[in-house]
Amino acid sequence: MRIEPQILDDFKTDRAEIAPPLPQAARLIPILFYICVAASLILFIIFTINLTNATRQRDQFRAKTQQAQSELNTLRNERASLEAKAKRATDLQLWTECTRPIQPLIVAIARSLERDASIAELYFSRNSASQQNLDFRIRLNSTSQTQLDKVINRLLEMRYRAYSPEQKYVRGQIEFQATLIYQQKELLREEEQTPTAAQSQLPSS
Amino acid sequence: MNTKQAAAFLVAFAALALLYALSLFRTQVTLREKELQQAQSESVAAATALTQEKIQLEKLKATTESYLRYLEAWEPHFSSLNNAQSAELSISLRLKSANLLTLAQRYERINAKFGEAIPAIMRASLSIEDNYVSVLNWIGLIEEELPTLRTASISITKGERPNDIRTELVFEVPLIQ
Repeated sequence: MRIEPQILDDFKTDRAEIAPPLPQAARLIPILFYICVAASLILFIIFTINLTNATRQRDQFRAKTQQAQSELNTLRNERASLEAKAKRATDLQLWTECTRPIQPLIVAIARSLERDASIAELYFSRNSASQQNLDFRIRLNSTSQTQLDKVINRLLEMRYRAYSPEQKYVRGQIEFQATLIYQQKELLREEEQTPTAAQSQLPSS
Repeated sequence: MNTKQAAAFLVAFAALALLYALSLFRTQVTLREKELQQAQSESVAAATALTQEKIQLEKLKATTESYLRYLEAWEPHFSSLNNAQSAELSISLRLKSANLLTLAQRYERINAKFGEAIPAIMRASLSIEDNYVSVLNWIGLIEEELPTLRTASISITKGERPNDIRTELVFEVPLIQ
């Protein structure tokens, strides 16, 4: 007796498919996934190396910049200090320009006097407009122009030139006044050329 | 969605997530490289500024050398009399030791600025009558021993006795900061 296959199939229940097969294109998904993993791994290594190098170099440059900045600040402070010292030196020099001794002038004038001449009054004062210059006034007990010329020549020998001179004769005396201006060559080498007071010491009588 | 589709979706999602994480990391690296470029240009700028500053400082040292020597030579003289008391003492003691007849002496501190370095001066007004040699020698010595002192004015007239002179002196001593 022929048993119908259908009857034998009746012992098996119909199984529904769990999942239909995926389309053929879906085979690419795992392939792409593996490619992604491999590429990511390689790129990750490369990026990590780049990041490390970039970080290291960046820190080196920053350290160099900081050091350069620190040196720059030091140099700027040094420059400011030098400028302040130069300014101070200029201020002090302006003062010392006005401290040339007057006693040598007085002694030179006294030594220029002739036997019959004498000084009634001698006056020196710092010029108010320019402290380096001197307001000078002398009254000689003499009417000799020669004597006055000797005085002016002595002042010239001491490198003082008389400007705006005024001269008059009053009761047998010559009165002369002028502004004395020091003739200087170089500003900072004055002290060697100006005669010191020691050279102008008078012997005690 | 069946399990096979879900699995395929998950795998695709994982691949995309991996690519996204990689792109984020790449952004970090790009940012770091930009920081590197900026740090490099800042370093170059700082080095240039430093070189220029060094050149300017050398030039300044060359031009101020004479001023520094001047300051080195004169500062001690200014510093030795930098207050009114020491300035007054230095003149009055010398006057006393010279034994000159002093008719009057007055000392006053004057706040008059002579540049930034000299905010005040000490002014001594003296009236002396004695032998002309002694007086002139004394004036010469004080002008030599106190090089920062300046004779603001001096007036000489005849004194009472034959060889005497009457001298009205005004000395000024700088009181530096």
